[in-house]
Amino acid sequence: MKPLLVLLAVLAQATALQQPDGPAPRTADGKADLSGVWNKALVQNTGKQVEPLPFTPEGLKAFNDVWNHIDPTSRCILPGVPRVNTSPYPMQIVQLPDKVIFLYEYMHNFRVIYTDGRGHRKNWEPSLLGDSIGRWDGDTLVVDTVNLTDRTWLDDHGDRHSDALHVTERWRRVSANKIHYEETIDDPKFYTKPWTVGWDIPLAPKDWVVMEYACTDNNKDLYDGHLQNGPLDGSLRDGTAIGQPAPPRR
Amino acid sequence: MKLAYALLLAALAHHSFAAEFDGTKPLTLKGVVTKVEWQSPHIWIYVDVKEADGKITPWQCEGGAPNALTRQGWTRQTFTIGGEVTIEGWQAKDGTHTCNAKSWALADGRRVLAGSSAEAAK
Repeated sequence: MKPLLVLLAVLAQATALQQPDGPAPRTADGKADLSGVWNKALVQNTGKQVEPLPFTPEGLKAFNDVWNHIDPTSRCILPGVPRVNTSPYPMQIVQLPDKVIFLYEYMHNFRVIYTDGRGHRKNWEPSLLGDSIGRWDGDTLVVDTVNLTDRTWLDDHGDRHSDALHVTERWRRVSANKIHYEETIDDPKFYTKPWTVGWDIPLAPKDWVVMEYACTDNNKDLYDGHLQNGPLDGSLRDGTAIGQPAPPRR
Repeated sequence: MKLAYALLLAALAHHSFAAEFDGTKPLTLKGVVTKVEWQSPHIWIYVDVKEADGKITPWQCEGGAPNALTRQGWTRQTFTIGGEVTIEGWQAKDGTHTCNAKSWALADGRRVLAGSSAEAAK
């Protein structure tokens, strides 16, 4: 993970050089403003902070079964919630009085999170991004997502979830140059108790805009049959991948 | 240089390097660019490599994502058709003349960090 630390350090330094940090900007209605282009990094093993994960027998079976499947994102299936937040490349947030809009470079995902007090939709089919509603808890945007399919994975490590997944995201702009992000994975079918992880997301350098990253434009790895089963981070399913130390590379 | 390396790491892939390419068998290819596909999710460069016996072998090599490479200042024009490149990377496990490039050295000495998916596994 050393290169990742270098990456974070260097990016933090680059960001600081471009834009001096200060208090979080505020909207006209007084809330900390999440708006901006954010240089979120790929987080390959989201559960690492809380390993070993509290698997149910069914959850552990699904985790080990990753070895028999190609990662859905390699086949250009949208990462879904919450993986859209840990996929690579920047994202833009647009905060409005009644909604917060998330625009993700990775596979051109977008989410419109209403904060106007509405509840979850009734009678909608489960989907990759699910049904999200937002509310403000002080300066923190709390996003509650249900009605997800079990067809997406949680991350590159091959952490899994069932269709009972309920995700709570907490987004707080702690300073001009930094968001603190947290996600709680509540999935009683696959985990005996909810687990929460979090990290900071730095503001992108000033001239960065969200660009094109279209997974299906020329996915030769898929078209030419190069894709293989297993998690993207190369972790094994011999018992070592569920806790510390990190599994050896294949 | 450090920043370039950091940005390279940000150019991560969305498929498994470990499964597809043999990280234990690095290779160096010197050849002439015949085609450039500057498209998502990864660029592909096609190169004719001259073997020791004079035989030409066409190779295809995968690089980083166009969005990430663009942020590093590279464009499709970085690679000229007919131009020489030296590729450091890894061969596909399936034995085809397919590689995952770690870097591309251009004839003028510039080195494009390919942002290969191998970096993701480190």
